[in-house]
Amino acid sequence: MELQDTFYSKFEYVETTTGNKVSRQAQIYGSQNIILNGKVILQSGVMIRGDLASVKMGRYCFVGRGSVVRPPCKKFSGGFTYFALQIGDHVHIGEQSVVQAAIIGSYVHIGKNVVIGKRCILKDCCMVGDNTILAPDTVVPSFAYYSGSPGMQIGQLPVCTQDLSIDYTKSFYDHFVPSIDNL
Amino acid sequence: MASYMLQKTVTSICTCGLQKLLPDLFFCRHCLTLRCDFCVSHEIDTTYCPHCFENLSSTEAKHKKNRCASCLECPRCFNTLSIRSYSRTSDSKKTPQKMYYLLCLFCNWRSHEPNVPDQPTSSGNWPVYKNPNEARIVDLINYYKSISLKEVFDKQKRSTKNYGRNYMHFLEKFGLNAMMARKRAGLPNFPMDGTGYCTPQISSSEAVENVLELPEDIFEKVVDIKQISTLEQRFATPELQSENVDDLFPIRKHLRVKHSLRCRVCEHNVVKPEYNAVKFKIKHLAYYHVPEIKIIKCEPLLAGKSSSLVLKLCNPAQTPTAVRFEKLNLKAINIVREPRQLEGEDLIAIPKQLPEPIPIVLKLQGDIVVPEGEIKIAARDDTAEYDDTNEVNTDYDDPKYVYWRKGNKVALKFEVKPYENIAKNENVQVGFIMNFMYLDTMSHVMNQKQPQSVLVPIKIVLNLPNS
Repeated sequence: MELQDTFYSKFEYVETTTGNKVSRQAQIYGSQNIILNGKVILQSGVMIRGDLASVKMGRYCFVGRGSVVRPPCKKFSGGFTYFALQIGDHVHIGEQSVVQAAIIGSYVHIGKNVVIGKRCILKDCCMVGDNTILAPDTVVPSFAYYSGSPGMQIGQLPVCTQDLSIDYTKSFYDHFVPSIDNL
Repeated sequence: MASYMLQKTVTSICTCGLQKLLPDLFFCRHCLTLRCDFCVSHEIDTTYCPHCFENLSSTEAKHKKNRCASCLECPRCFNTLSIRSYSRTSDSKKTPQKMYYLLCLFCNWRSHEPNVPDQPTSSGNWPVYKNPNEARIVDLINYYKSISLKEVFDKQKRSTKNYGRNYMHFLEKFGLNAMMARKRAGLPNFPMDGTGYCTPQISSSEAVENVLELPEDIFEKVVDIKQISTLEQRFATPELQSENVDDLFPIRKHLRVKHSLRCRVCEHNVVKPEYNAVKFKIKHLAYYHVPEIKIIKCEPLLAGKSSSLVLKLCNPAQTPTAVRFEKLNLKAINIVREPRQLEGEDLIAIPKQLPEPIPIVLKLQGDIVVPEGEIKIAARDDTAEYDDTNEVNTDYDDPKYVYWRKGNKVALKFEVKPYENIAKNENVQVGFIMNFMYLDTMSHVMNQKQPQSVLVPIKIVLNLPNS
């Protein structure tokens, strides 16, 4: 099925020159530490904690309603440190998810209501299903489909995952349009 | 992505008869047909650990029983274990020593529970828990190996034919490497011809006379379910299978493999992974050759009445293509049509046969009116998305069938008429054949230099929602 248009109110979203669409209701902390590389959509209620450590997001990323993107921390014998959070291109993060990974590669799909534990590493071309809990320090290899609690590999993604992901995120961005009555 | 995983509205039927989604199908460029997981041969390309990504050769993996030497799994919840440290001071005068233990960050299981000793190094050397009967199993394996060897010697003694003493093919099977080395070195008195070869003696297993009595409280004792391990936990370590959760030991992580796939008919590779994680040396997928079909609009379906359906076709290839539709004939559906016979360079000594094709059983619940004539689709152009003036010539299109055109995409109008007796809330299944023009650039036939256009038929099944 072809993706349907998602309408948004023009007054709610701020659009940057690089094509980022950020909701005014998104809670962005430490904006000087946040880099959005363009065509990123942040919906309402999204929280990005740039005040803890830097957050980098590639092109064509999407963060759904009410999700939290938070740099991970680690306790050492000397104290407590936050690490930078890197997210690649064409990454989809569903609604109401909490992401505390260290690295998220490109072409990654994260479903709804997912908890990604601290310092997880998600390699390129992987998928985390809806309602999954990934324990801290989990590594998700490429072409793996993780689901369950704790998240386990339950399937394999097709060889063309990269192109499927690019196609999906690009068409999602193209179908994210302002509603007609606001034009 | 998620839509691909969940929605199975448009499926294609593979040459072997299985219904698959387009991204799951392969396209053999030599046979010019669809292949799926089931009708390609799988070969192991590399073996790796899914946690530490250490690559192992196949012999190394076999030696380590396909498990990673450094990564361990929690025996309770099967999550990967983390290594934690603490400082231990046995003597106040000495510097404190760092000790390491294992901890599951999901269920909080600790390696202290089954009394795994803490280690002084972070890399581990965690103890390997061996099967209590391992010695006996090794004895038995050696015994059977020697018996099979003796059989081979006996057979050779009986037959008068001289095999030229080529035992190379037994080398790995019977572990004869050392034997051959000794022989080459000229060491005497080695029973290579089997004379005086004797099998090792093993003690036969004996039945025990006195079996321990059941404990007296076995029927009355209150069972604490929390203390009993689940079947899943027991099966994870089949050699130990401890009944008490406190006696579960960490499990070494299973290795994973990258497959390289080969067409079973012409033996050419369809997928070959690269060392680098997401790249491939060869990937001949249907997704890169066959026009992709997506449903744009489907009017509500009513039994016995025709409603319009708009499908979008997208040409993924770098060459223009043309499609022609046909009705699906249920009587001839099981006839496997391989578009091309192997010839020229592709011809292999013994042409392989596919496994027995699976009979296609379709329960179509409607008729479909397909566009007539040939519909051309432009080639994919990666720069087109930056070009706003990308006009396509639509002069030759029949407005009866072509809804719109944009770059390498075309939207086509179909008509679906469900049968009178369809059930409510059940998907309406309709099918048709799409013949698409494939530009064959391989020089299969001798003296053929020009690329040839071949019409490749693909059976498509639509599962339309009926609500």
